[in-house]
Amino acid sequence: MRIAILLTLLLLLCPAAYGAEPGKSSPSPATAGRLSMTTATGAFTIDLSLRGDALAPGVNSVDLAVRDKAGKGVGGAKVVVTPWMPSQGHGVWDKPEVTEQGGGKYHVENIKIALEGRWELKVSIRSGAVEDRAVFPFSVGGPGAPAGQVAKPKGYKRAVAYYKLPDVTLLNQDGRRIKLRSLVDAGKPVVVDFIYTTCTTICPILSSEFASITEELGDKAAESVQLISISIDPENDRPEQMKEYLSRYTTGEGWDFLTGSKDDIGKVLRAFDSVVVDKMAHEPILLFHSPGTDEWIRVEGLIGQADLMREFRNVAKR
Amino acid sequence: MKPGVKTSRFAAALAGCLFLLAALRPALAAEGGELVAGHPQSEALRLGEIMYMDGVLPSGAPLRAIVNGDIEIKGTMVTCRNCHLRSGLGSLEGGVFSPPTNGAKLYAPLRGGQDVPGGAMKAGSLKFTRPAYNDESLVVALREGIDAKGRKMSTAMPRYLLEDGDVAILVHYLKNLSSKISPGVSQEEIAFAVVVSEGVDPRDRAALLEPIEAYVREEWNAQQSTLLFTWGRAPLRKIALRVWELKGPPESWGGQLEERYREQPVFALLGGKVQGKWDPIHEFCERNRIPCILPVTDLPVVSKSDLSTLYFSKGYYQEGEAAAKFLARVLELPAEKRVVQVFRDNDEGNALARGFSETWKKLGNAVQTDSVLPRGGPAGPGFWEQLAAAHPDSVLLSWLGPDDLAGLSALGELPRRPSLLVFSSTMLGGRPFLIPDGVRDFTYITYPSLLPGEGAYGETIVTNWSRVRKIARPDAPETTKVFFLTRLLTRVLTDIGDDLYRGFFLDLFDESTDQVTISANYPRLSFGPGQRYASKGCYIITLTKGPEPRMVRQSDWVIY
Repeated sequence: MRIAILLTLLLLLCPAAYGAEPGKSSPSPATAGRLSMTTATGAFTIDLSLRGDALAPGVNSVDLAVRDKAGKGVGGAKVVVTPWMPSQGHGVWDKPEVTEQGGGKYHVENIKIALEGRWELKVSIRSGAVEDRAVFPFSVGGPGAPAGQVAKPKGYKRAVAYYKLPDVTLLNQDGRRIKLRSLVDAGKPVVVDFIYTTCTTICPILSSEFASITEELGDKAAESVQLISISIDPENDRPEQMKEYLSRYTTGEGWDFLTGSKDDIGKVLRAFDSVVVDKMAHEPILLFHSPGTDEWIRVEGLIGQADLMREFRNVAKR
Repeated sequence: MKPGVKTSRFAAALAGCLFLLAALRPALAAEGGELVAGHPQSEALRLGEIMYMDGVLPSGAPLRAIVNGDIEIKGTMVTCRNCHLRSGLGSLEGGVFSPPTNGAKLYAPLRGGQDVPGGAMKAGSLKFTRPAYNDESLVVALREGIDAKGRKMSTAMPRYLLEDGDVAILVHYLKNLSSKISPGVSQEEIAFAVVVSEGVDPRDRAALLEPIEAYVREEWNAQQSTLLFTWGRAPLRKIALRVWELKGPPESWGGQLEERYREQPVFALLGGKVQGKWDPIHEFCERNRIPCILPVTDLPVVSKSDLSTLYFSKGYYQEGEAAAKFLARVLELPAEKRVVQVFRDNDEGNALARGFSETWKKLGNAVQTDSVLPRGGPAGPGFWEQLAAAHPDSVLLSWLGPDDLAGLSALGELPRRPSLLVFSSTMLGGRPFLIPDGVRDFTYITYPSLLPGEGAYGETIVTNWSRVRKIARPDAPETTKVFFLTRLLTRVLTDIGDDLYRGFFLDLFDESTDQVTISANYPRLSFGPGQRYASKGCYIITLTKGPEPRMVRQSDWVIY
């Protein structure tokens, strides 16, 4: 319930920024032709017709006809169309251009589709005080990419976030003092998680996720990624315990397990918006960061390897 | 209580017992010496335990599995024990519910919260019921992540790639894991013992026993009927408390404990206090896998692998450890600095010295010099002058008691003397102010508990509780520590319900949340699977000079 409220809030606040999928009235992804959908709260019905056979990689255009509950065309509405790739969790930088054509009809140009795969066109309509939205799913690509395969539902939440890190010096598994900011700003893509050595359930799985990144990157792991595990049981997690814990998951460089005073760790957790009331109540969170930016991708929930590597490559190639 | 309610609860309890018997039957039937994957049963249990606890196959290779849908892992990364715990009774952490995987629960249906062992939060996390597993459906669960009802489990449950022989061994282990209620439990009661030895000061003995007896008599046994669960669980049992007195030399204690246990088995030991080291009791518990919860001792066994005894702290050892960390990490002594330990050849002195030297070495320092004095004392005249002359400009760790302090004051006046002194406040009988004015400028003291005034809240609680129960010395460390123990015990005994397995009892202490307010002795006590020393810190203090000295904190509670 709480999640549902949160999602609704997010959708209302910034419709394009989150990859949350609407729950209702999703037809199966279309490859061609006309589609008709009622918006989320039923305020409008939208007919969408494609110019051309299907959405294709490159620049596309569509026509929209917007009707209200009485079936009357809705003129003068503010219409925003956002292309979105849910599996990648991103859209495109170029905005589609919407031109009103009268009688509730709108023409949309410059819909840029970057890759093959499953895409969504998110359409939001504001007419007077009424605002509502609909999401049209599309499968982009040849018959080799059926919707069922690319449209794997995500088991995790994803968001863009900005964090200001405290100037703290922590201790790693070798007993070395590490400035957190320097480690994060060392020029490599960074992934952060929060674990402790005697954790049940989620830490071993989070650490398995980290291990699968290093395994996937092979010999290049140490130079291509900085993994940072921050202890949420700093009083018990000392270098010795942390080293032993890490040895279960990795033999290489590039993964630092950090502990420190309760105060410093508290500052770090607050900065990352990941405060835990008690270590037994902590949640699985991964934070991805590209070098040279202040943007982070925050993933909540347990994540499979394909998604994990996609999120990682997403920050690594910027 | 209405009679009708009582009857139905009794019926529920009876039904529970019958259920348990039914669940045990397959295990009993297999007792005929049948081989498991070609191994005798005891060997299969041993091999299965290694698979469950460490994720290693009988071949010595790690298990292999898929987790989160497509992440290949080694079994050592995510072991069965990690989530389902040593007892197999399951856990709830980070919103991930790991259902029970012990024999009694696997081979019986999970009908609802009442069948989920542990606290209400965990019971409420059961989303699906399922029928009982059998050997075949359990294999499917382990390999394919499909439960006894044919439902797909969470992807957090690894899908294990197991050969037929290996999976048979693991199934055999699971079937026998927490399959029988532990000894010391009857239909109405659960028995605990408090160990006290000869030679413990009678006042300390009273400060230990009074609160725990009052807790059992006036709190748990008086109120447990009001703590009944409403969801069909059996009533909680009353506590039968026994006091086990140890006599004679410590070498004979092990035998005495075995004998007492044979006469009347207990489920676990609570608290306790002996003169000297706790080792004989620790070893008895480890040998018989009997939990021992929070004995009052500063001479525990310091071990990384033992599991049966949960201590408040490492005692003297921890003070030595803290001194080493303080010198290395806070003062950052230069590597060439000479460090000398002086201590008497007694249990306390040896524990402090070992704590220091093991930590000092681990932190990469040169070996310190040890100056060992014979047991007894006090030191003769000229002792401190000689020591000062022998170790000028060094750091002198003086792990000595009040008897040896005569003449210490003069040290400050000497032209050649150690540059730093370190004492242990516990060794000083908890009276750091015995350190004379003349040396306070260059003396540090280890202080392994709350500073005066810091634990006011915890002290108020224990004082008020004690006053109502007419406990003579609410501020005695035995009383405050036993009081803390009873607070945790209420939680654990309520959560354990009818699943009275010793392993689960320990798991529930492990899963306790960090305690920051109710201890009058420590700033924080924290737990976790395999963590056996709840206090993780020790302050380093100095004293101000003058007639009314104060303690000044020189370090954090935990020094890294």
